[in-house]
Amino acid sequence: MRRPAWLPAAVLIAVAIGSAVAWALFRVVAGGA
Amino acid sequence: MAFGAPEEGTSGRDIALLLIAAAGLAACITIVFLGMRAVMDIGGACAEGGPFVPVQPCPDGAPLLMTLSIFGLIGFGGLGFYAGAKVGGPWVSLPLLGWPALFLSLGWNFLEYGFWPEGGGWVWGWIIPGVLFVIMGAVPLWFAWTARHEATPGGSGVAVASTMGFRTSEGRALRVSYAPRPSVAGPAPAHSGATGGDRDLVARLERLAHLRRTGDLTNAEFETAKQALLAEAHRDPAGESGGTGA
Repeated sequence: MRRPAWLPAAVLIAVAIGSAVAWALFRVVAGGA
Repeated sequence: MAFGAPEEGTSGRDIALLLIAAAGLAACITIVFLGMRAVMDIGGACAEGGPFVPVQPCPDGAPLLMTLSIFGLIGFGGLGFYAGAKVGGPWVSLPLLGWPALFLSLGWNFLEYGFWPEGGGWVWGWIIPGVLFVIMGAVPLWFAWTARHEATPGGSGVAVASTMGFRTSEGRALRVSYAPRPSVAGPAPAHSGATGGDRDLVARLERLAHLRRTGDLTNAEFETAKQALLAEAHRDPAGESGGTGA
């Protein structure tokens, strides 16, 4: 299977999701920033 | 495991692991960024427990989250290197971007709190580490930017990794992007003896296979070049065209 052309976009989306989840987690656990 | 795996080796599992690593790294960097701001909001330091009376308690949950995130940076970084190497091409270098992301974001915190503190004026105690962090994040990013052309799918895809000193499983430095490409069809070193042509053919085939492993050649290009080599050897069994003195 060749590297899919959408991989860069998928990585960017993964980074955005990871940041959003972490931001929400921090707000819940540590009371926000 | 060799960096720059052949494209047919890319599997859905490798891609999924790479995406998990990217999301995990982003999450850990975000938590460290927010945790640092939470601590700076209360003066820049906090302590609890131990024999000392806590002058400034830490924000709830922030120490635990930040501690887990720092370990997470290491774990997700390792996962990213593993999955990136399996995916091949420039993706092995993806976790390296976490370094400038971390230091530039933390440097921004220092600079923001240094130039625009609540009480007004400048706080040099924040500005100086802010400048240092920005330098630590920006300099590697600049090196990566200058190597970006080598890290495209058309290049060897390992230039960024090579600048960081990674080596292949054979122990050779990943310098294929910078070194002149081996001359597959050019003259080969002279050999003596009746089997010089055979040894030369094997060496050239091995070089071709290496170029395919590193991603410099696609499978189709590899097959074409291999057939050309074999056809040449068939026409000229003694290896005359390869410069061998049989």
